[in-house]
Amino acid sequence: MKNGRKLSLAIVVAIAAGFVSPSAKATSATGTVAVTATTVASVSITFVTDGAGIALGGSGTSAATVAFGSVQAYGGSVPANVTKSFNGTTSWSLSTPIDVVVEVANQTSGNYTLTAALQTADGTNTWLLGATSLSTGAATLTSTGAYGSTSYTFKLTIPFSEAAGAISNTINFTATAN
Amino acid sequence: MHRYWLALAVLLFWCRPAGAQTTLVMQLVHDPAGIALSGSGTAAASANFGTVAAFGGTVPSGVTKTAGASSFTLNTTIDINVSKGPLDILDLLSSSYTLTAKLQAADAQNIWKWNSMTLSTTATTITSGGTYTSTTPYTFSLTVPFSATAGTISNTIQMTAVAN
Repeated sequence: MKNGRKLSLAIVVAIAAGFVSPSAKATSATGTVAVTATTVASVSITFVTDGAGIALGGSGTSAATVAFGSVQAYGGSVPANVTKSFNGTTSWSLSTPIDVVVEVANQTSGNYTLTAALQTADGTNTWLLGATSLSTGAATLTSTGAYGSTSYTFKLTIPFSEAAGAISNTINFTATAN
Repeated sequence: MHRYWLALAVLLFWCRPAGAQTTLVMQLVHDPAGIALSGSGTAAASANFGTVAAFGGTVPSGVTKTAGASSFTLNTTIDINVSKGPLDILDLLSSSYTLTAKLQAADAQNIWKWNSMTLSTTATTITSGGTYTSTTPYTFSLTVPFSATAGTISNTIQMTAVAN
């Protein structure tokens, strides 16, 4: 090979080396993703069908429904796991257990306070959760609730004197971490 | 005469385009279905989930939240594009790359996952067959235990792509 060609080859090599050097050693790339999130404390309340209770619509959510269907004081039938009882000659009741599940996150709390209130006043029927009578004012069901699932017996008492028809209302629960 | 050729070679070297890439280039890119990335299209992006709660509250667009029995998880998608620079002579024969990821700071409390791979401060291989110049979506998730004290969580995920 003539000296001129050798020199040309050397130049080409030199240029190529120039393009890849000094960074030629790096056949990698890096990238970063900085991630930020700010967590705040929160409490969850959900309603779950009790093993011995009426089937809840929306079981496992915070907006459940209870439908007793068509019921009557004497005769007829009630849904599974619903108990019908009589209070002398003045009224009759439907009762069933409902599970209330309260959870807490990102907060140090040993227990919670649970209150319940009727959404709409009812001067005719009696609404009970456990032994607590409900009205539109918040009633405390417990002030030392243990996190997890707790069964409450719901009881609706209907006077014999009441005209037949649909009865409906909503019970608003509030759980507050202590 | 030889000195002139040598001088020419040196001159050509120093006059190569300033922006010419001689190695791999990584870009973190906002996925259309993912969280907004600050610095999208660069190698140093950031994702801010804002204020989040295990129960209730809201999450940013492109983020989903799931609550389990003892923790909640934030999920989103982030894209990565790795390309070879136009002057990347060394990687001419490379047809794929290996992508690894790791946390910049150890986190013993929360769980950080990239494409379902749990991250730590040791590099974890995300893929060993990455395709060049292909904007690839990756799932990112951050799991926060209910027992964690509320507050700010932050860390940096360091990605490295190496030509195969």
